[in-house]
Amino acid sequence: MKQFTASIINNQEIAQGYYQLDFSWHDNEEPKPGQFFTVKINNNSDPLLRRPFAFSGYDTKSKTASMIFQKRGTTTQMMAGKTANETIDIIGPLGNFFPAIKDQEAPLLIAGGIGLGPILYLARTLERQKTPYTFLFGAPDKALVPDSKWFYEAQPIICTDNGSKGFKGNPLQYIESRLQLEPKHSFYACGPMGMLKSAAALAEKNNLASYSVMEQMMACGVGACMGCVIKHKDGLKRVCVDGPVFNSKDILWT
Amino acid sequence: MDLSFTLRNKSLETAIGVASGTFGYGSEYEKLVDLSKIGAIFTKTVTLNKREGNDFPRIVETPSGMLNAIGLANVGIESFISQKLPMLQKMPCETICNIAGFSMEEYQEVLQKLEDSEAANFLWGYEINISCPNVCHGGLAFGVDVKAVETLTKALRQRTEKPLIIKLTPNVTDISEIAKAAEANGADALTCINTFVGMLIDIRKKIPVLANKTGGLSGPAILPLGIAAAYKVCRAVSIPVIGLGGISRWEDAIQYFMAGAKMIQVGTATFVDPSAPEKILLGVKKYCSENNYSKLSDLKID
Repeated sequence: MKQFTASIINNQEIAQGYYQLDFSWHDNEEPKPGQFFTVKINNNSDPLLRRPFAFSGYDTKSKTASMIFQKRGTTTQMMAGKTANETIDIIGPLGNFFPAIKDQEAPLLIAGGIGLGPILYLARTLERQKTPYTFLFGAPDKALVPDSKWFYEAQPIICTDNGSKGFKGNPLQYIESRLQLEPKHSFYACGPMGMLKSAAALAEKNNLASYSVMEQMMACGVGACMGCVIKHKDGLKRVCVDGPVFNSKDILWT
Repeated sequence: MDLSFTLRNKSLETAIGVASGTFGYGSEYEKLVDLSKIGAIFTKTVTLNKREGNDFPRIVETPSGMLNAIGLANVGIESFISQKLPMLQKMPCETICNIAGFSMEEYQEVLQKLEDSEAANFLWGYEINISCPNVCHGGLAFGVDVKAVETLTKALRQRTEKPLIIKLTPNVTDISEIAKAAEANGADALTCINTFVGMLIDIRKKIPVLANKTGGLSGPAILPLGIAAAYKVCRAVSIPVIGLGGISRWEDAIQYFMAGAKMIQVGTATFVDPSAPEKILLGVKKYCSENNYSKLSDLKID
């Protein structure tokens, strides 16, 4: 974990309102799939707080980290306008990461919408390790599906709610209708709360291992402010240091 | 340049601390902050029993600030003594333990447990959070009631020889009255101020944004409110005042010193930039040397 000034290497719109931002990383500690970092976009007091984002990739050779964000609020509006050679203040890597894939495990990687980042990073890591996996990406419409080059070596099965591209339906509907779930299967999911909840329920029903990347408003990102809690079977847990990756069986879904 | 802060013949090398609730128990920020530059860590509030705190959402950003309603989530005094104190003792700065209770007895019990524990000997002093509701008196915060502040300060004073700092709430009609009550009953210093009650409503969901409905407002938005309160209190009492509220730049800290504060705390600014306390220290030093101040108390204006 380190606070540093990162140089932006590339910033490009990869789907409607979705951006991939690549930036220089420090030598201390390589980020792992599932981990996140916080960004302070400028020195102004509005927006005040740092914003957390998941890593969507990391290139060891060039020490370049990547993120995927959606232009939504003030910070992301400003980030969308950043160009190469501009700088941003970063703290990271933060939080825990996905557990290692076991021998004979058949991981199903499930990404919904802007939850793509950490799942794409996991898929690319597994691809490079030659670990077999199935990668699903769901979006409401094809306008929100990045071009295949933005998935790099990890091409997902595309699902759209309106059927404008790939499978018509969401990734979980794909799994239920097209796959025969077996004990070797496991879930690694990031996306909207409803999707995570459904994935957790499906995993529970089939007695499968299942991990979810959780999200919550954060102030500090390092475990000090106690702001980013979620309901866990052992009480309230902080997403920033107890997560963001949780065993979905431990979450009290509401 | 003398940047020290003294209470009861004990000195902190640097009159800049990190505020309770914004720095956990120190270890959270160890990798990001050079703690040797900080005068003291004011710990996350500790209560008698472990507290999970409020339901979520607990925090929300506001224009140039944030609202929080954490609900004093903490490990409880027993775990604090066994788990947190050994870590805090290793930090290269002093520790001031922030205490709260929901009754007069609870405050005293927490403080007494620390006084009785060998592991707590190293604590530099205590800061008393009086913004909690007094469950025995209809939930009215201790800090808004002159009588409660008198009784509480007196009771705690009798139990310790260590510096006793009362952290004032600004959510009162006349903060001077509360300040005077604490001073008259043995407080060594006053921290001025805790957060302001605030609220935001989600107009789409038509419910308050925070699960607790209201929360404490902090950050740059409250800077002028904090300075005004510190200015007033510094002129109502003769014991030292520790200023905080909205300090994120060294210029803000200088204003608190000019208002009459003898020490400052950095709170929400640490969330935004963990190096803020250190940057503020450097800026204060530079300003003082450029303006030929040899000690912080010389900065006070009329």
